[in-house]
Amino acid sequence: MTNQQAAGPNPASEVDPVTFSILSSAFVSLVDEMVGALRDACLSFVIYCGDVSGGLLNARGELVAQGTRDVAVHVGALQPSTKAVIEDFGEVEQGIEEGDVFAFNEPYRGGTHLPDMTFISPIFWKDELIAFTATKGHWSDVGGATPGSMNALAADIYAEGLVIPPLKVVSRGVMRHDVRNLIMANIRIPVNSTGDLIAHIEAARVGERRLHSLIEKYGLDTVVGSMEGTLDHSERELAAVILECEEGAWETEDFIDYDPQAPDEGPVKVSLKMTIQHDPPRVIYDMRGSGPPVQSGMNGTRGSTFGALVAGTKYIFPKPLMNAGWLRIIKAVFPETSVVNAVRPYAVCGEVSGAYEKTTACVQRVWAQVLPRRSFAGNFNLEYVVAGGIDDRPGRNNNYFVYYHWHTGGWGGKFGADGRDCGAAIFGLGILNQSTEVIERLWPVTFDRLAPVTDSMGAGRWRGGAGLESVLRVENAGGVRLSYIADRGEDGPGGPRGLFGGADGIPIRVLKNIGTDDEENLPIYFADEFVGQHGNFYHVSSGGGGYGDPLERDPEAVMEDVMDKYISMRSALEHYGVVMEVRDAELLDYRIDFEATQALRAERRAARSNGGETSHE
Amino acid sequence: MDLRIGVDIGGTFTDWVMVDGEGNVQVVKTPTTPDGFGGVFNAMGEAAVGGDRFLSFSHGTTLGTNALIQRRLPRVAIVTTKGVTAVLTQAARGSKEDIWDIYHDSPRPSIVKPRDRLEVTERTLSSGEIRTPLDEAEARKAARILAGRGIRTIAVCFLHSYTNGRNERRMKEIILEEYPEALVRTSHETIPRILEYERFTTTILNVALIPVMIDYLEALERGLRGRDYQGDVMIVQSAGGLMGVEATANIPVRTANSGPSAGAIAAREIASLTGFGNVIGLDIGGTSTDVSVTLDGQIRTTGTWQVEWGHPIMFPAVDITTVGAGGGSVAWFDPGGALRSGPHSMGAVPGPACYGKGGDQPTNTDAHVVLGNLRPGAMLGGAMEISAELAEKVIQERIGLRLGSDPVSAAAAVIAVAEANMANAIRLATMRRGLDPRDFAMVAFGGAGPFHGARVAAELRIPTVIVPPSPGLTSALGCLMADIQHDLEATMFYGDAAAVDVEEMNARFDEFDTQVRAALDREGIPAERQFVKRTIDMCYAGQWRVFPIPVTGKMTTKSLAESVDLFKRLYLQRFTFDLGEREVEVHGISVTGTGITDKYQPKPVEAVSDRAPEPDSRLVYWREAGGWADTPVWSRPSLSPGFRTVGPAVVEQMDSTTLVPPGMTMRVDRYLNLILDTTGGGEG
Repeated sequence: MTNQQAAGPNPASEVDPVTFSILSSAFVSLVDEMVGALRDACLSFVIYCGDVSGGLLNARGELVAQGTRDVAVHVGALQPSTKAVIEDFGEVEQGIEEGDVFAFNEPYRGGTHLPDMTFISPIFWKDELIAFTATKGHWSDVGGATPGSMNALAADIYAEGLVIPPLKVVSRGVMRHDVRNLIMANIRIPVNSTGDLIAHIEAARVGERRLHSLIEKYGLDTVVGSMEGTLDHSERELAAVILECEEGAWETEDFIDYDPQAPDEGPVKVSLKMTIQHDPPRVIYDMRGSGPPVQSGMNGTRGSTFGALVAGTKYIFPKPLMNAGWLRIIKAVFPETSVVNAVRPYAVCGEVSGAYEKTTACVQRVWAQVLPRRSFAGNFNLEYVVAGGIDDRPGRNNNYFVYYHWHTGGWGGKFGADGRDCGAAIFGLGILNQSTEVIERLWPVTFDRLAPVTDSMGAGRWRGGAGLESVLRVENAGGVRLSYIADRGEDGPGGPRGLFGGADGIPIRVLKNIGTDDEENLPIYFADEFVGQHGNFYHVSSGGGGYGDPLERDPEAVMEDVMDKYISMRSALEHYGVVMEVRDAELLDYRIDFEATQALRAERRAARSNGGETSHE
Repeated sequence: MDLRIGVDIGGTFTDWVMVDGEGNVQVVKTPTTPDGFGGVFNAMGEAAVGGDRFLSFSHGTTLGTNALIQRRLPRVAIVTTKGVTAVLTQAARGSKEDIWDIYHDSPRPSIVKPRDRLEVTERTLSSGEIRTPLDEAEARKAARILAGRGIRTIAVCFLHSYTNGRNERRMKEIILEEYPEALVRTSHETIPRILEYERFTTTILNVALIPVMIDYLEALERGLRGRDYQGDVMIVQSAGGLMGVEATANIPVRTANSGPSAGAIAAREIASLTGFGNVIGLDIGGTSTDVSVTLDGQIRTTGTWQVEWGHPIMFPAVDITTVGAGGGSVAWFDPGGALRSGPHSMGAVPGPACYGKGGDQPTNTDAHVVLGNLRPGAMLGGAMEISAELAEKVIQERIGLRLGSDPVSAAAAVIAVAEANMANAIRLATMRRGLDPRDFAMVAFGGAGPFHGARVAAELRIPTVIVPPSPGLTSALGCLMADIQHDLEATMFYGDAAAVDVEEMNARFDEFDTQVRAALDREGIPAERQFVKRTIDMCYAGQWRVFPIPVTGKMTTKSLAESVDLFKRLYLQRFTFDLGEREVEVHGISVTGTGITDKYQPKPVEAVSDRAPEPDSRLVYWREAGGWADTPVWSRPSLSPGFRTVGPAVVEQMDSTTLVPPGMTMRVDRYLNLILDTTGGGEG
């Protein structure tokens, strides 16, 4: 265990272990209660569907507890966001006062992208600042050049929307209407956002009440001592699992397809070298080999990339409670300025599809070399589909609408099991895929197709999960502009990567007006693409990468996959070496020719060892 | 005919409760048999009564729950809208139970394999407009494929069918024409509500349970008829009302949470007799704590719930908050060295270490033995032997050594952590929903509820705890305290409330009214005991949250406008945010028919004994007092109404033990409930 300087006024050792166990759980449930209140009361369907998170932080702005279903990408962000509030207001006369709520979304100081609005509130006890709470939700729009504020082609942050440094929207319990009005005047759907703002403020009150009731019951020293103790405890938990890993250094890299403003310059590298050491226990992530910042929104900030490193580690070690105690063990080394730690004024709105996603994929892949049975093959890349325009349906009063959708896709295979089909993206597994029936009701769009895709996943002993294809059609709406941000598209280096001989998933493909005379291929990042009345947008997301050699997959499982249309007969033969006869597809009468399968697999293996081609890392 | 029979078929035991015309209660406890009804007949045999004496027979069963969890279900196929099957692949809308653990795959995939998803061309829009009628040639082909595969159990699930079920209905007709042996249910007839994943899942689970429940109900009914019972067999629904065999066989998924909901009914009724309308039911068994909430005499229900994570059931159900904290829950240390409790449980086999059946993990029950809360030796009338030695050994070895403490402090720590989890469950059920526990009374039941009720209540400042006369049999009694309930709903209209065709709405209300009354007639409820409630579901345009607004009688344009105003007021109350300018949409209507049954009502007893009961005593460890105290141990059957004492005290009975911590007062009311006052100086 390491000794931190100034561990606070109340050493954790003074809290008895039983009270500590009770309080450390209570802190997590406090955050769950806040996030629950926000989801209950918000006006945006996106927040309701779970693009939210929350945290309890100590008076120094260090994260004590996160919620159980919070968005991973927000993980690293709440702490620096709160520190930004302390930095700006901590020393100011009437700076941080009881009842205040601060709004914040500035990416370079700990925000993620601009639509992720964070609300931070101090908690006092008898005039003493003892903690902060924070909630963060993705707002449907925060201004900027394109509806939904997801402008992949923005050359700088100013084109992305309203940048909000720590800003007091509630002062001593009273809403500052001028401040609220300034925010609402700059965004497209002020009615929903005003409702969301109120929900954030209400959530802060829920957190405050709960912490106060804990203090009334257990006393200030015990509660604050346990908040400190929680950090020590998490540090110990993570240290214990790290000490079970061998010491050493491993590296890997991944690529953003290209800079949309400079496609000819080719893929942009994200590089990761991991060092594990035991004394003291440390995981050091070195990203100094990463490429320079790009002239568009695929950059990550230092805060969000660090969040990716922490969240990526949490996927490998899911059990230990994650908080600032982890930051004593996980260290990051960044280059001066790069695509993973861009600074003002570089654009960042697509960071989760770009630098963030590449960083988590690197963490996954580098850990696969250390703990192959905890890691997993590559996942589908997150996509943002954002459309805005005028809703011309009867009864909708030609209101402006902003539609924001994240699609699901295939997860990578893992030791002992296939990847998940059509799952939420790795940036936030607590997120629910939005209901088609609700989407078609709330916005002037319909889906012509929304289905899992045969052969979209990488083959493997445990194959990837299925990707998804969709056709979104515009109905009764005018001037609809579509923005799209993804990565791992057809023009890039490839789909989600397989592991230990498993194959890659397919890359993403996007088209406009599929099946019409105006059919048109679209790039993997675009903004402000006009879609006319009844025009459509087609996309297919990747399946996951495969894990292990497909020739080792049980032939029966391969046959089942053919019956279930995960894979085609052709893939069964080509990738898995399984010879089958179809007697009646409709009645599911399939037969495996085991002898032929054995012979074919032997032949494939022999050819492979002659060619010397394997993809083991 | 004087006996009312309530039976709760739990995972381990079948509890049989008989109440005669005088209100005398007799109980039998037998092991549950795998088929469910075997245990019922064993109990009936043991009770040695003929069915000709039964006035009524109501029961709660976990059969549906177990069939769903263990997937003992027929092969099911689904026929769905072409091209939009992703939703059926996205288990739980793409989310996971444990969002960080990639190696913990929950939810499990749908019970329908992808190969058994057949697609047909059709499309209905959210407005109810049919953009593409059902392609009948494709429909017939799909039906023939299903017949060829021999899959009899079929769910028809089309997008937006809740607004217009025409295409689904036609599909069902075609399947039955081509394949008359098929059992077909459409999603709109199962539950006509928006949200395709939830509606489809509910439809699939329901149709899968139909053959299972029909087999069971037929065997049960046949067995009871053979034993001379000719009356109705009633089943407790998840929403808290009773349903007959016919209705249950049609929508069996509504009974999947039968047992816990019977417990909630009992908690409400017991508290109501004692004068409390706001009730927290704390039902603690071997593996879990189930919390129910009753507000102003109404049990809180939820619109969507699940037996298994990620497989939602869209019917109303008693809103039960469950945490893995029961007698068999295991205490353990996390990698950082903090003591945790549950959710893993040792169950009934091998059970806690003190049972001596090979359990080697420290459980709450072991901790209770170490602390003197649970008397070692024979239990449940000699059916089981409790070893103090084994309890102390496992607590010391697994917990005490790590904490660096003696076994007693270790056991106290185990219980404190478990009780914190139970208190968290109540917080989730109350504070999280804006309810203040201080406004409630708690009914503590289930075998282990009375161990923890007082302390958990004190922690949350719940002033009163009620321990019913037979805590372990409370759910079975709850079966005798429910009314019959039927509900119907329809999503009908979209758009501005002002544009609604009031006449059409009235016609639909009347139609539902007739249907629920007919169902109540069939169940023998006379007209004067039938009550029908009507509600209209409303929401703001562009919003998805729907509020049910109660209405009465024929609707007029004027009364509809008043309902819209009521909706706006309720919305403002709930969200403190006025969307006043927006249009209000009418979403649908629902009708609930209640048939008031001749319920069991505990009868007050007069003080029977003028001889003061004599307590035993033993040493019990009270963490409030920081040590052991020689504590009076009262035998529950010896306590009469009016009896009063001050904690520390222990009250023992065959199926449960009640702890009264130091400083709390306890009295016995005229229904033989123990009433604990947690404000009487007991520390929080």
